[in-house]
Amino acid sequence: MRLDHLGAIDRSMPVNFEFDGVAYSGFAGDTLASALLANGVKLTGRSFKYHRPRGIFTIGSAEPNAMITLIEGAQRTPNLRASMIEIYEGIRAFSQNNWPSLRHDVMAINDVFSPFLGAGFYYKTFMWPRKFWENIYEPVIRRAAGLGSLATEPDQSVSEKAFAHCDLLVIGGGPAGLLAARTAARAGLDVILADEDTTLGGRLLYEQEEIDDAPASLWLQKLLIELRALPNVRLMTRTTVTGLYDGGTFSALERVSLHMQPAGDLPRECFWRIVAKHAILAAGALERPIAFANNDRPGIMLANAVRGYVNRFGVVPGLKVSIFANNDDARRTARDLMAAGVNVVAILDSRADAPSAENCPVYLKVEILNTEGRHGLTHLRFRHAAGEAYLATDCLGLSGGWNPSLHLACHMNGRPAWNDAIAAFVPSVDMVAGLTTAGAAAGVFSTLGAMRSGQDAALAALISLKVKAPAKSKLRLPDADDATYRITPLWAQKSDTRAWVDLANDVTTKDIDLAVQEGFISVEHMKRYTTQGMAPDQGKSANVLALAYLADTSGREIAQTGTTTFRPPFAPQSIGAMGAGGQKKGFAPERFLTSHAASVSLGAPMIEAGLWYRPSYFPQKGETTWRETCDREVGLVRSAVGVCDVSTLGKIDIQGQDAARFLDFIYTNTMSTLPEGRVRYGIMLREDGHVLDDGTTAHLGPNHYLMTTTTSAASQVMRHLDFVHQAYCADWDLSTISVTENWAQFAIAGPKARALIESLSGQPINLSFMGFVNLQLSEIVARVFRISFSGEESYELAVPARYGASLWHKLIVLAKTYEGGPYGMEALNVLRIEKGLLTHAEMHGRVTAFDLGLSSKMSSKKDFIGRAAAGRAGLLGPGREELVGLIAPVGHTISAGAHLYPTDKAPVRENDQGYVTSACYSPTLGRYLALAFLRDGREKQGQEIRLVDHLRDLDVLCQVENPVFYDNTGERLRG
Amino acid sequence: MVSLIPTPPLTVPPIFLGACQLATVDLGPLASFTPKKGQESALQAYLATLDLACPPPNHAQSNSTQSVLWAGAAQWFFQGPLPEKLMQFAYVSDQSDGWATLSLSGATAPNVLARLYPLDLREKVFGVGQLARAPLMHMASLLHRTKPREFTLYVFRSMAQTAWHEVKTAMIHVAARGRDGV
Repeated sequence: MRLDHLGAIDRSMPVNFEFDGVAYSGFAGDTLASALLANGVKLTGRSFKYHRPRGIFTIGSAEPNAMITLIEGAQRTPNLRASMIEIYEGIRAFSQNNWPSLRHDVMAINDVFSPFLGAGFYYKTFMWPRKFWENIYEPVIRRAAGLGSLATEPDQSVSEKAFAHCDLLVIGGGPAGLLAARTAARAGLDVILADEDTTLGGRLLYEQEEIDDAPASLWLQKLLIELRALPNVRLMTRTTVTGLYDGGTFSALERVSLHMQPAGDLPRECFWRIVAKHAILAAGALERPIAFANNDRPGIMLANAVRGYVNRFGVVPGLKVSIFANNDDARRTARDLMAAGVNVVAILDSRADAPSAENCPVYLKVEILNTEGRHGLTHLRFRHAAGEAYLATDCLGLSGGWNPSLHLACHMNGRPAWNDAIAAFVPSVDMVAGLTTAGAAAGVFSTLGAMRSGQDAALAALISLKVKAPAKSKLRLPDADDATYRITPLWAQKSDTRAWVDLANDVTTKDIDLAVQEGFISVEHMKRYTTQGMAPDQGKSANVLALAYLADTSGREIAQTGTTTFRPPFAPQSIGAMGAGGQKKGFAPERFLTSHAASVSLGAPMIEAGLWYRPSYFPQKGETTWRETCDREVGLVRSAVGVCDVSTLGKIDIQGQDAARFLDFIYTNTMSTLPEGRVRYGIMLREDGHVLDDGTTAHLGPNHYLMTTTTSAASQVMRHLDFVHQAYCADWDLSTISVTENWAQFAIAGPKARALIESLSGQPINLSFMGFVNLQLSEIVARVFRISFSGEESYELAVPARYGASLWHKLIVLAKTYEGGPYGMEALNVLRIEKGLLTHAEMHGRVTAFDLGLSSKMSSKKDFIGRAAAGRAGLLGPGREELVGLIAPVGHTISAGAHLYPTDKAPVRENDQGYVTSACYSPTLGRYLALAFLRDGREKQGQEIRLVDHLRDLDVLCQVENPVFYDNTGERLRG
Repeated sequence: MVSLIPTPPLTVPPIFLGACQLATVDLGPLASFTPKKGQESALQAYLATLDLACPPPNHAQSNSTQSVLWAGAAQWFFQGPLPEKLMQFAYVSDQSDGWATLSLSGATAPNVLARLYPLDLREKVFGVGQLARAPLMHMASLLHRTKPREFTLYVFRSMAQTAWHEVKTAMIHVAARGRDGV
């Protein structure tokens, strides 16, 4: 029901929306919860386990009951809290966890079977007969379990992530936070004030309060005008600070366009990481309930929520409102409602000594015996100081007291301290360096107290930041409510029927009794055994009640029982926001070659290797399969000339008087003897003696070397060199820097390669194998390396990257004149396998130089990284899996990933002898070849081995050979 | 004799969005250098004759045509025409073709950068002439504040397209918030 004269909603802007297919209307400024209550809708969901009818319980972000699925266009989001959804025109909301409808839910049968569904029932059932588990129990449980359902289409929404830095982060924009921000801002600090609500004000938005003898809203507006005008203040509303981390870092989730009319390019949410020199937690407090028989009916709400809906939204949740509480604060609900003209039928107070003079009936020493009304509260039956009573009431405001919201202060594994005076947990002193708690979050509940507390926290922060406080005239506090908080703790009232502690996960006092009975008395055990506190609301309205009840039941003090661990996030955080920008191509940078556009226009499919896009093969007209193209390209290189962009390989420029010495330290073989103008192949090890990478290093000039690395290991090797330089060779005369990007480099391979280069440069070239020379191309100094990855006479030509595209074009054109052309990654791989050359398929991180047959490259005359570790027993000698070549019989296919077995034993794990790392069809040899690791492989050359690929159903007898299948003597290489 | 045509890392027209502008910029020759051991003071003396110096970490030092940018441990970038005698005192490596440079300017440039770099870019912390080696999203990068509302972003040449896309997306989101674009 809607009141005419109260509420901050905009009555000039009606909003139409749907709930469970029924059309309703509300106003701009309403939440889904307030709009539903205004329309008299009390039933909003079914409880998790027992499917009991439930209604709205709170106002704000701690709602345990009203979990909603929202459909906005193509976007479907489950498990949203109705009290946090701001309605806008056309949204469609649905209740969850019911079938076929909310009012008539078949699964409500669970409520009838509740004695069998208590805490931990699933640990004691579903075990017999065994075969029922997979076919019956599991599918049924899967269908029944869970809360809400996801859309099956990919998420199309766009969110963003951002960083913010400040001197002071104030978490919470109520009286404490506002005063803290004001004080710090007036002192000149850079302040961020964040609040999860749509506007700042905290309790001032929900309560009838006066500040300086005028409605609190006036004071609030004046303060906001001041704060908005200050350039050093950033106000972030609709922003929940969700986590506290090391070094003054906080996570926060901002609802940018979420739950608003779709607006152009505004992101849905923004995930913030905020770094603050100091922070003040002023997150307020949350009210808690009391457990009594059937205390979960629709219409039973927290007392502050009942008056909050009236004061902020002009919505009356019932026509005959009652209050049940153990404290004075809840009386405000009765007084606010009566002042608004609502019928308050009774105040029920559990205390014997509470005030009894109100404008409505007051009962003392109340014990609630039961409630009635399945789809909405209708009656209460209770005992009081003077007898028993049966009360007709459709809305009960319930209050067991207030819990300071100290969650963030505990995110670094700190535990709060129990305070008997307010019967609540408060933050311990110095829980987190650089964080102060203020206001209700610190257990200071009155409005004036909160303001003072916030100001004091800011002044303390100014002292620790060594900044001068504002003048005394700027620190005057206004007149505000300063009532004393009077409470007599009450956690549960005895009952034979179920009394709810955790509404969200359907945990009752009986469940906690059972946990204690079975020995799960630690609060961490009780939590997991009963699932109390493990629902999406993380037990915000239940945890303290549960542990206090546990303490009583197990005969301990509350302080002794303690709390469970608080973990981020404080409130549900969408993964789409945390991963904003990371979908599809956003996942990693794309790296493009200077020849990319040309390759694409030649129709080459691109593959991704270490973030680079590389052409796979260059199909020509008439070719129908990739193999056809690949075979042709291999033939091209072996008989004419092929051109390939190899810019992706890492190139590291190394200079200095100690450069040669450094290379000797990094590589296993000796580089310092390499003459100028020569190139040498080398391998480098990790500290643990395993192979890190291989490559060639060229001696370019005096004290000047160029190292190459494998494409995918480029940054690894660079990091390795940086580390070795800084950690072991810090005082050496040495300079290293990556020049991978600076040079575009092309392989020109084949019998006609030399002719092509001479054609390009217009001058003869006489470079022996593993030589280097500078080459003048017009005004450009290019570099030529005679090295080969194909086994043919081959050169790599490097130019500054700005000329890469142009050079590639010229090379392709020239190659054609020699009956050659471009070749891609597939052919590159076949060519190198035919020559037994290695890639990281073989150097996969678990092989040694010994395994690769490269022991001769381990110099005995010098120390090098990994030398000692490589000599450990077990890393060399008999039993190691050694690199071999495998030849398949003509017409048989073999594959990488296949395993190797003796010919006379079963192909099972116990008989495994090794595995295949690379395989290809070799057009040069007319059959499949492979490189593999085989136990004691080198002494098995000439023998047969059984190759089995269990996934692809291949079973082939192969010949074990020397891995260099083609041109074993290297004649073509050195020609 | 062959004649090769140079191509810039990225050929795109500038973008104007909200109170912000993004454009590619060609800053000319770029080279990294590390002082030779024992030559550190000679190097500083030489640079002083050019009105330059090796700045401390996170700083740049410029004269009218050249800049020296701190780029890492014992490493600086020299931007502009390379002085002939530099190679006497330092090991020099050409970087002219390895980097793409973008210029981001305007009132909301810091807000845009807040979506890209995990850095405190408040002017009092990161002022004119300051720079940082920091990742632009997942890309190795250098960020240099050249004017109060103007920044130069350096990324690897091969990642220029990704960088352009990321900055543009951030500009779109900031512009959509209107007014202050926080």
